[in-house]
Amino acid sequence: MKKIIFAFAVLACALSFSACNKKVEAGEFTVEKGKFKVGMEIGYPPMEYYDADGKTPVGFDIELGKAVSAKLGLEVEFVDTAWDGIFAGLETQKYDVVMSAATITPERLQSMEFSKPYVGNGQTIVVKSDSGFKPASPKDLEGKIVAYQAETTSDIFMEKQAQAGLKFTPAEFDKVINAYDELKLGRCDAVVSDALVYANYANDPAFTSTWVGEADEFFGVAIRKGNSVLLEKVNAALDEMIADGTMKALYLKVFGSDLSDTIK
Amino acid sequence: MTSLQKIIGWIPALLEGAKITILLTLTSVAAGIVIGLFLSLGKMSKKQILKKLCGAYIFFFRGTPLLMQLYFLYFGLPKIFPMLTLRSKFLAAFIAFSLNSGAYMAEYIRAAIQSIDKGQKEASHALGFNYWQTMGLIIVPQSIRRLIPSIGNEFIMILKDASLVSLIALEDITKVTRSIASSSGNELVYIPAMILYLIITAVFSVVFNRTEKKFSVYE
Repeated sequence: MKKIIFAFAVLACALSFSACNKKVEAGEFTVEKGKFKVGMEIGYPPMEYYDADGKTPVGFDIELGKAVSAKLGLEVEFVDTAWDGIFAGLETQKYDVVMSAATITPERLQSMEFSKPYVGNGQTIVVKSDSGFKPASPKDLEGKIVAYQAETTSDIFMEKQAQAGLKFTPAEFDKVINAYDELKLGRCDAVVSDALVYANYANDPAFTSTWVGEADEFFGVAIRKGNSVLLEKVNAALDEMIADGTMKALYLKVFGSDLSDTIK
Repeated sequence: MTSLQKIIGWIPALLEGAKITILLTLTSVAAGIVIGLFLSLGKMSKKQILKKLCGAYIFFFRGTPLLMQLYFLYFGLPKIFPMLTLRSKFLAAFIAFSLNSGAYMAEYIRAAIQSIDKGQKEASHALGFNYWQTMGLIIVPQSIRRLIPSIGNEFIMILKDASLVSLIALEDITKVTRSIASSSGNELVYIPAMILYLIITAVFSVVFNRTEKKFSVYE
């Protein structure tokens, strides 16, 4: 009798163990089974921002997150987080990926994986249309007050200009919206931002973009290091979307122009 | 480069930030004391309108986040009234912090004044002193010692709240620290930054303790 009980116990253990194993396997590539959690700093139009109601996230990364999760057969969930520390949250498994206009850089590739680029971007100089100031290149910003978002590629770009000898007064804001506010209120001479971000302000007659740099940075989906299963799946989904025209439709919907060439 | 060398390399930038932090704290607390004194006298006034107005001011500034007040003053108000566009970030921060500090200070001052024995007021009235003479010569001087710990407390609060100015792109200690941390990827910078805050707090604690002792001879 004891032997039979023992045999059952062993069997039960083995079963529960394998069941357990199976669960890990199925949920292996996402933090929560059946869910695709996307970390983003919502406040960076037109990539990710809140709609007029103040609670519905909209923008290119939201559309992309929905499309990718549909291809993966998972339910999408957007996690709003501060840009400072967004990659630490990826590491501590608060979400599966970061889709937040994150530029693929060699430094970042050391501590995380990136999907293939889904859109290319450069920097642009924006001024007030009625100011008469028309900078034709970053050199024309000499002696001016320049607003931009802190700890972004615009920040890195201006830091490089400063190292190259450009003298200007920086105004670093936490939100890119505040940099544009500053320009609108006439408290700075120019804004340097992502060309993609400017797409959101292009309809406002108060702003004019006078210089656009070459697309020299590429946005990718950041994935936790070692999660190669999810990396492969996301890359396959992006390839599919480019091939079947989903991506082109998303570009047209959000930016008003086809940006397919930027990632070729 | 060793960590110590790195930390030493960051110190000049942190000290630049400390200038903004200290200057903003000192000026805001000083202005807050002046605003608070008048508000507290108003709140203890027998004139109902004055009492209600001062009460409403204190209710508003203590009841809403300082962050929101600063943000509204710098970005919100100029969009509604373009003539209220403040060009200087420091001035905007100073105004928001003084108005806010004034509300807290008003309650500290009121508590200090009301803690003075009623007999003092009655005696000065009996001697024929009017309201301003009673307040200016008898009550307020006696309440100062009791007020000093509260001012010291408010000072430390404002010192730390000053980190909110990074929102309007003013380069205080916290803003400088965050910039260094994210551009160098080295979180070690938080250590000298926190030590810097502690040094400022320690220096002013000593100043306030000495002042308190000096004034306590009247008690």
